[in-house]
Amino acid sequence: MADIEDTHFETGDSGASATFPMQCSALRKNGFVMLKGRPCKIVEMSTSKTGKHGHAKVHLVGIDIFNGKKYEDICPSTHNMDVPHVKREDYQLTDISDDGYLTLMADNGDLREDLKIPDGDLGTQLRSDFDSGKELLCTVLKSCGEECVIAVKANTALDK
Amino acid sequence: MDNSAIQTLEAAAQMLMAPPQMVTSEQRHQAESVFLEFRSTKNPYQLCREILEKSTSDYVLFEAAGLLKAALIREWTLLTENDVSSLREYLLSYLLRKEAPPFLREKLLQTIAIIIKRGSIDDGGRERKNLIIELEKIILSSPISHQKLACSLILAIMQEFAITVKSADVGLIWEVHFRLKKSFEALDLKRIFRFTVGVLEQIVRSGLRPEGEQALLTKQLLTIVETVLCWSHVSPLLSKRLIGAFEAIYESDTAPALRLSLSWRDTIMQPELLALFFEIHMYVRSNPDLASPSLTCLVQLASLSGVVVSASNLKQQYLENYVNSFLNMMAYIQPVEREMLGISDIYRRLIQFFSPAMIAATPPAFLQNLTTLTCHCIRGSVIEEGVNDDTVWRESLNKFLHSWSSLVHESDGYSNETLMNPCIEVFNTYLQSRLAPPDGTRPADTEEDIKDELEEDERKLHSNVLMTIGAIARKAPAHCCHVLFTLLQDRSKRLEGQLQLMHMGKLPISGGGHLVTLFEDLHWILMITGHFLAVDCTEGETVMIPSEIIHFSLRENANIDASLRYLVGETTDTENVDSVLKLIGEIIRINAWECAALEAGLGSVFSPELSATISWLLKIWANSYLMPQSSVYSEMSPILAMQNPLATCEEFLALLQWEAAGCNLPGELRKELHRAFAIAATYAEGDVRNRLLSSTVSLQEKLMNLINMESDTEPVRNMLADTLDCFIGVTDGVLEVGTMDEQFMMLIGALDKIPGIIFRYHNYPGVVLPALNLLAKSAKRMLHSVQPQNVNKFLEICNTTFEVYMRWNSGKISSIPQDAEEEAYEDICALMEVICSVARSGGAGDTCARGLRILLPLVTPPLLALPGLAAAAYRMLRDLDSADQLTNLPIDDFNMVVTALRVGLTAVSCDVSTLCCDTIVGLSNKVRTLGDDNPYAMSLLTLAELLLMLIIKVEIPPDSIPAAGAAIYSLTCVKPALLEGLARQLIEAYAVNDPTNVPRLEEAFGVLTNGVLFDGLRTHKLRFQDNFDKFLASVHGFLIVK
Repeated sequence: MADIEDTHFETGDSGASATFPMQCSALRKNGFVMLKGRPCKIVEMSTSKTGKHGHAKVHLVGIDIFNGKKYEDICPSTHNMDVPHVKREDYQLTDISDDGYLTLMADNGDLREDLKIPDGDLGTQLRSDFDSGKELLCTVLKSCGEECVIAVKANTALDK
Repeated sequence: MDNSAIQTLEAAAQMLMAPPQMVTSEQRHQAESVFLEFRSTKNPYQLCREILEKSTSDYVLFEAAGLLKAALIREWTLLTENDVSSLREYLLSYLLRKEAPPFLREKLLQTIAIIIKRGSIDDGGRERKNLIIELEKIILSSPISHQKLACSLILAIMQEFAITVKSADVGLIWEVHFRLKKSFEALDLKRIFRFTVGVLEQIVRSGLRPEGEQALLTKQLLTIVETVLCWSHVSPLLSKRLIGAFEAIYESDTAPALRLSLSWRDTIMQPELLALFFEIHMYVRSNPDLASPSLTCLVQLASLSGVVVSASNLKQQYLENYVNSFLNMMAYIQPVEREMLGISDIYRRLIQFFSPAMIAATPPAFLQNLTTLTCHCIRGSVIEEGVNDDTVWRESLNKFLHSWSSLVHESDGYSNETLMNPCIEVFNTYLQSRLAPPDGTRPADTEEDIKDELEEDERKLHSNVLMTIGAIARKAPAHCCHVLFTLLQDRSKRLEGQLQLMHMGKLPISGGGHLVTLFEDLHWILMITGHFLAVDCTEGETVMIPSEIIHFSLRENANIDASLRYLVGETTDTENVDSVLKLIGEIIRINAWECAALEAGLGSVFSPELSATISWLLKIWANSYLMPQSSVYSEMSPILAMQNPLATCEEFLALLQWEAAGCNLPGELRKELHRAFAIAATYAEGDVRNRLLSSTVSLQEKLMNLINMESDTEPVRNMLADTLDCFIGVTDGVLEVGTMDEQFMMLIGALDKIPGIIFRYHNYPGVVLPALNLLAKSAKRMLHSVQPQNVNKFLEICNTTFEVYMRWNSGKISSIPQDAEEEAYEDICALMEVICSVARSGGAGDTCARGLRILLPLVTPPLLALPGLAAAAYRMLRDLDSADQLTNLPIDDFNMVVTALRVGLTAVSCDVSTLCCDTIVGLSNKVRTLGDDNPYAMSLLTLAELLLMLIIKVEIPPDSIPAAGAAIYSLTCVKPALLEGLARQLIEAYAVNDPTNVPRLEEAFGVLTNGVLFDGLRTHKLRFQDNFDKFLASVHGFLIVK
């Protein structure tokens, strides 16, 4: 039981606007949930119960949407869990600075330069595509005050 | 000769067997290559003899035996009769002379067996007979080690002749295998059986205990007899495919029935024979190793059928004999746990293979034993459930219940009067085993383990057993009805008492073990009651009130008025109340207590498992008893017919409002609810129908509101996904009654919004997936039965959806790796479903082509490596091919299809490669009309070389080989010079590396095309398939060194 109380304690900290409550049984796989105070994507959901006539508990496994770490939690199916608000926005990539920051342009023309090249293969691909002169569209994921680029595609909209 | 060669091999073997740190990997590789070369040695017979005589290295001996076998198969046609028989004699004398280790012995025995089998093609079994006579002599008069060896050789020969369809690796085609099997059956099998049984009789009569060497010999003899009795005597009139199915049974756990030909009559009908087999079993039963084959023999003998007992008096006589010996044995022994499976199998087979009348005429002890043993197994299996993973008791119980199920359903077998008391005994035992003390004997469930809910549903898990228990109970309805009613009444009173005490705060809410015991009792009583009252049919069957229940109700002839008043709870007086209704009344009362508990806030106390069981029971009761259709019954009890729906459907309609007002059910359940509304709407009329249909209207309003919402937040997206899922429920629930245009119009409002939703929420797979799924489901459910103008409307939506999807997904690279598997995968599967359904509805080639153009670049080789996606993708290609959609694609897209097929052919999965081959056949047939210099044909033909190489190198799964043959044929039909060209190419390649095999390869290709015209007509196609089998048998014989 200590686990559940801990979660409530920590998520309570993350601010009312960043999350909203949802009944545990209504969560979906591939959806989002706060686990140990971190916004996570649910990769596994299973139910179990104590004894044959007990009530179901939901066992959740999630992956932190920003750093890829794995978290687990267990919760009675009738209880509420916090769900992070998650926003994804597309930006045009206009430049990459020497120290690895991206210059991104929103649909309304606003520029921002506060996001770094993502780690891993995606970052490598992004840089090589940009260097070869492709018009790129970056998808930025935002949740609980954090942001990062999670997907890139060639901007076909410009061709038309 | 070559002592140095042997020394080289032994040194290499030492390298291979040395521990890792002692040798370098280079040395190991070198040693490996020594053996690789050794395995392809030509004419190695003298060398192998030398090795067998001189070498002391196990590994070298093993390799030599393997080489001997492979070389014999490879070079059979080049060997003289003398070479072969001297080799065979040498091997047998070697084995008799030396104490060879088991691995070597088995390999050499198999080699002798292969020699015998291949030799009997030419000599009609002469050598085989001589050898068997020789072996019989050895068994009768040699030291026991020689006797055992002779038995092993007989077994090896039987093994070699037993299987035909799968015996590919000795270089014979199937027809020859089968002919040899039949000749062996006719000439030698019975002789082997009689001889072995004779030897066993001597052993039994000798009175010696089966111990040590003697036990090992007895086991071998028993195994020979077992193999004869389990032999699949297949009729030569069946097709190869059917014979393959028979042989699959032969290889599985349950042997086929003992179907013997007329020539066995003198042997099998001897009365002493059956007695002897029971005597043998009693002699060996204390030794588990021996008891298993001897019990299998008894089981097989219980299934005697076929022409040998075609006359019914013979059958009757045989059964009498069998049952007498069986009952004699049962009177004498106390069966142990491991014998239960065999004994239950004996009952099952006797009841299956002999007519109900014959079974009913057996001595009373037969049925009494069955009853006692069943009850014994019931008790055993309940204990077993809680203790370990063993399933002996449960498996035995299943077999016994199988027998019961036949007994209680046969009308021309035992009379109801005879069955009544045994049925009561079985029913009572089962009930007791499930109830807690003092009523029953259920072991206390002390463990409070965390149980995974993914474990199978309790109600499904036990349904097979309970269905039979229900059928048994209906043979004694008065007794069982009374017992169940008394129990339910008692438990419902206890439940009432407990819940009231809790509600008043006089009992702690935790409830404790008491309550759990009560829940568990109720759970079981309700499950048994459900299966007693109704048959839990699978979907699609007409559900009926069981006829025994109707008869029982008619016989009781209770007062209708009193019964109905009791049922609705107006009175508690059970005087003159129909027993079945009393039972139902009690179920409804327990249900009412459950509702009361939930309303009183005791939901956390009540068992969800019990709630599920109550719902299940109400469901199966409602299926059979609510509104019984008089037309399907020959007679009906007026009381049961009176139970029309007691309440109006107002309560059901109230659910509509509850749902529209935003009930907080999980999405999955809301989807089911809408499915139920849609089903009900199909059947309802007038106002009710309109109210039901309005559920879809309000769903649509909700969708519009969500779409028009300015704020784009997580809760909105969740609601949107839920609402789309509800529409899927509507689609699922729409039943195909007449034309579907009305239902379609109801959905079009939602479908219409799909492209816009995908456009706006393209970054949120949680919304995109249900939107695509809704499109896919609707296409599948209704596209084929709506008016053309509606089809066009739907296709427009599909086209726009494809475009929007492509705009956001082509060339996308994502950082979350699991997306590649999870989301992309599910999206793509949904898109494929849409395309397939559109193609199947016909006449929408343009939409298919657009869809494919988007889809094909997305289906990359890494995605095709996922088995689920690959299976779906290639099934789609095959389906599209049969719907003539692929050859209409632009050539660039067609090339992508060919590339995908190339990937699929090399996949390891049999399903995928078969699908690819089938698709190639279909494409070839279409492309052929275009001429072989057409770009489509040229693209397709590039697959031929790959396919041929895969076949020759056996890199294609064996079960796909027939499909691959068909693909080669149809590709050659496109361009008749193709096969010749490929053959020449292959032969030229061999001419460089392996010139000696060139003539055989040329000959094999000659066989392949012999007498075949590549005109695509059936006769030639079939001839090619025959040639193809021969081609493979010969090519694999000499090209492959395993």
